[in-house]
Amino acid sequence: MASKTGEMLLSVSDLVVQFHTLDGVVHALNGVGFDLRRGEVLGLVGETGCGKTATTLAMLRLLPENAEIVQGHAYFEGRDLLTEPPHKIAKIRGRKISMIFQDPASSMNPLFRIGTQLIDVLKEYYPERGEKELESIAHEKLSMAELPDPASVMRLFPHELSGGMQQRVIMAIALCSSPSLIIADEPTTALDVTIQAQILALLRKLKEALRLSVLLITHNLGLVRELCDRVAIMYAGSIVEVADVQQVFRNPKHPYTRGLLSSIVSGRLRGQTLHHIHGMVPSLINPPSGCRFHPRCPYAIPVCKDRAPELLEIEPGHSVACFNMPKEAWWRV
Amino acid sequence: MMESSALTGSQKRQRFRDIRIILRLLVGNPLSLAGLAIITLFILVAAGGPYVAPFPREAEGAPDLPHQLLPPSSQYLFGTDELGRDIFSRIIFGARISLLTSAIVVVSAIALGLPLGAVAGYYGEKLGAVIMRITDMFLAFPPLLLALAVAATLGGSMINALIALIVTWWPWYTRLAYSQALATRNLPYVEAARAIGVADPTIVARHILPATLAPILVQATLDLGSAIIAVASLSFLGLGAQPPTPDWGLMVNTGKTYFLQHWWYATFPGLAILALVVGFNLLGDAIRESIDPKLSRRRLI
Amino acid sequence: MTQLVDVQGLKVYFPIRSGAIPRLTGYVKAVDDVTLNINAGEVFGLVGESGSGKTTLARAILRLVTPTSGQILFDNVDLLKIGKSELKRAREHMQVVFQNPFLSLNPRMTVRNLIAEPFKAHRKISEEEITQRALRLLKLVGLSEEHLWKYSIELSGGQAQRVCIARALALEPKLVILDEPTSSLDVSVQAQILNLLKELQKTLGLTYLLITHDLGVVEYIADRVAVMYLGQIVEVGTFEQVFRKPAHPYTEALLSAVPKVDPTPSEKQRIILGGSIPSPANPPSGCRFHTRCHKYIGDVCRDVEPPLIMIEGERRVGCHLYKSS
Repeated sequence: MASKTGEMLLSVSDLVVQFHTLDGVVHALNGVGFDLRRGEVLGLVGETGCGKTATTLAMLRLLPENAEIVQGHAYFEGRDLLTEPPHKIAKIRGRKISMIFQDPASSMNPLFRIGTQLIDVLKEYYPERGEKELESIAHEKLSMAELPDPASVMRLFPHELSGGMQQRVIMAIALCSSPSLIIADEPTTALDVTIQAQILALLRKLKEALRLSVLLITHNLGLVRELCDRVAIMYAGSIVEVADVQQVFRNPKHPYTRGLLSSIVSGRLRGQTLHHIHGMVPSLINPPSGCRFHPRCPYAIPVCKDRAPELLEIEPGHSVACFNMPKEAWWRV
Repeated sequence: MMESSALTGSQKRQRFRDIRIILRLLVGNPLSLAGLAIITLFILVAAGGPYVAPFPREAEGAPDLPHQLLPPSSQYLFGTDELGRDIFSRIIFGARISLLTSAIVVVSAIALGLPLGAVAGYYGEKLGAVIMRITDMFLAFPPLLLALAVAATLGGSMINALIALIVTWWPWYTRLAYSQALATRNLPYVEAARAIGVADPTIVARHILPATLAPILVQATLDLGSAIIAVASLSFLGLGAQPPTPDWGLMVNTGKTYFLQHWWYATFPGLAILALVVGFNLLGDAIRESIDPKLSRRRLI
Repeated sequence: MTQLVDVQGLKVYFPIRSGAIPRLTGYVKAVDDVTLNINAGEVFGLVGESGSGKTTLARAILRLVTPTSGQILFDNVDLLKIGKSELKRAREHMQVVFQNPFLSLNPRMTVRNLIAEPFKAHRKISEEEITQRALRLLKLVGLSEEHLWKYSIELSGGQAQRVCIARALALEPKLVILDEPTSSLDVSVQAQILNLLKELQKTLGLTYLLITHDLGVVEYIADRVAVMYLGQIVEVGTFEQVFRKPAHPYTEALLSAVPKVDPTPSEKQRIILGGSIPSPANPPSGCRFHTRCHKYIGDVCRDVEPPLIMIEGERRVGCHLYKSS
């Protein structure tokens, strides 16, 4: 059932972002909207270029200079992140909203020891505490990330740790400020399989223990299955389907979601030709008219070329943006 | 046959697109446009030489004693020198010298230094070590001093000055090419070439050298400016061009004696040097942006 | 079934030099005494995580790296004992497709010239003929004439990988080594490329050595599989044997670690290995996996290196839990 785990924490709506490049205007985000409640893990899933990273960068106001937020809202704890002045956003970034990126090594300064970097961060959030106290808080955070022997880890430099341990340190840093929301962008992609399993288990534990709210961005559907409560599927700058994790995997409705799920390689398909979605991801400089998926969609009907479908709830907790959905859903508009 | 002409058509369309991108980058930026304009002006003037200069024979050295040391006027735009020769005309002829000599120095230094660096970087180990140690020896000398020493030993003349500069400058390109070659040789596409069975010398020519070209071209454009100054410096010190050659450096040298009463003599050649060097610097930056294939087809996310 | 590749006792050690005056302080034992064989016409999967040595093994077979000792028989020719010109001829028959297509294609060369490179290195044919052959190869991998004049950065990931495949097939090789061929591609593109690879294998009678960490891909396409850990092979068998009834504890853990899109009810509890992967410069004593093994028996695991023994049919495992059949 739909997980109504808590109040609304993050509410993004109508987000339209463009990039001005030498080759033309890239229509990266085309009216993106989703909700995230306190205590839930929402997966933002899509392939390269669908706009999932652009969405988070827009929210955090970290887009490059040539980007333009044309319209949209991103309400976080009552404030619109897209209209707040830069100095206020800087206070939210890293504190109320923590980030975990794909490559842990590049998120840390290679010249400073782990301990120094952790304490630097802690000084921001606990300005009144002394050096000794900060050290023990640092130990606590490292233990929360299941790092053995925090005292030794504090003395090491980032490159002296393995990838998995580096990612744990990043998670410890992310937890320092007791954030309301953690945004994790492909947190396990760069790690080995057995290490991924460790980090996945840790994320699960932390989710239970701390009732974390996480926006998980990934293209790894297995990870989504195991960690997320709800999933939003993105294609070419739009959200095409939002549902509980069970619903998406058991009963995918959008043709793109179905195409995606059926093209996953697994041993069960041995001997068969793999299903794949015909065509290629479109250029966003000249995106297809109407529904951006229509050129590749086996179910396209004439209206798909003229208008872009809205995300409509077809059953509780399950929304799809497609004109082929049951007519009853359209009645509710 | 239908097929092969269709291939050329597609190929032509592709090339056309490439040129447009490069031009757009070069011309789009106001600074690079300025640099390009300055250099073009000087090149045209240098090429035009005898037709543009109002007093071509004076430019080559023919004296006109009655008109010694006249200040700038409508007839003598930049004034005259101690032999009555029109400085404006001499500067025009001097442009030819400056452009040619700096080009010779830079191109020769690259022709010598680049392959050495590429080979040293690709083959590494003993061959690379030997080449780089020799390079280091040359780099240990302050450049102008080494050039002075060589030029002084060979005797003062333009050719000797150029030789001195080439001998001084090649190691810089070797080092640039060496570090680029080191970075490139471990790239997957070089490994792929080895896996295909391409011979080592072919790999150096086809994959390593072009990769070294990008930073070197930028450096070369900037170096053209430095070369102009270097040649002028040697001439200034009497080790390069000899009178009556209308070399800018030589003119500054002669002009300095008359500077206090006749400011124009040393000033205008100096300004000419300044303008041309700035032009090359601006262009160098613009070329860097257009040569890098990743930058020139900027795509985001 | 003829053996195309026969690797015996292969060792690839990289010397480590450290200290103010660089001295030899040890070795990174990237590949440590590996024996395996690949039959003609089969898809041989090689799986492992970082430090397993699978990539080094592939590069050793391609002679991109010089092994420290051992034997590599390719079509009955020992690649480690032949001279330069013989090696060049051997290279025609074994080609490679790397992981990142954009890094394995020179960004300054057009697709046509990239595919032309193998022809230029090994054959004496005209430029016109080369262009024709390149066009045919492009069509074989599902691309068209317009791609011939593009640069790699103008292509999508899938298209660029197809170009790499076309280039690898130019000289009609017997063996194609695929090093993580789909890992940098999107899910739906992966499917396309895998379909292509499967089809090409059938129509051209190719032999594949497929190296990957993506177990789904291996299970889908490989006939036989070898699992590597820290430079050694810990298990070899048919895909059925290795995936349905893994023998080595590491294989078990590896299979259970993959996040499942569709967990079957009978799935056992996930095995989570403790610790990180040790460094190949300082591997654990005895059985290299003993420091993380969930089926650790006792001192024998710590002290004695288990040999690779045959347990059923052609299946081999390196673990003290088993006795040879």
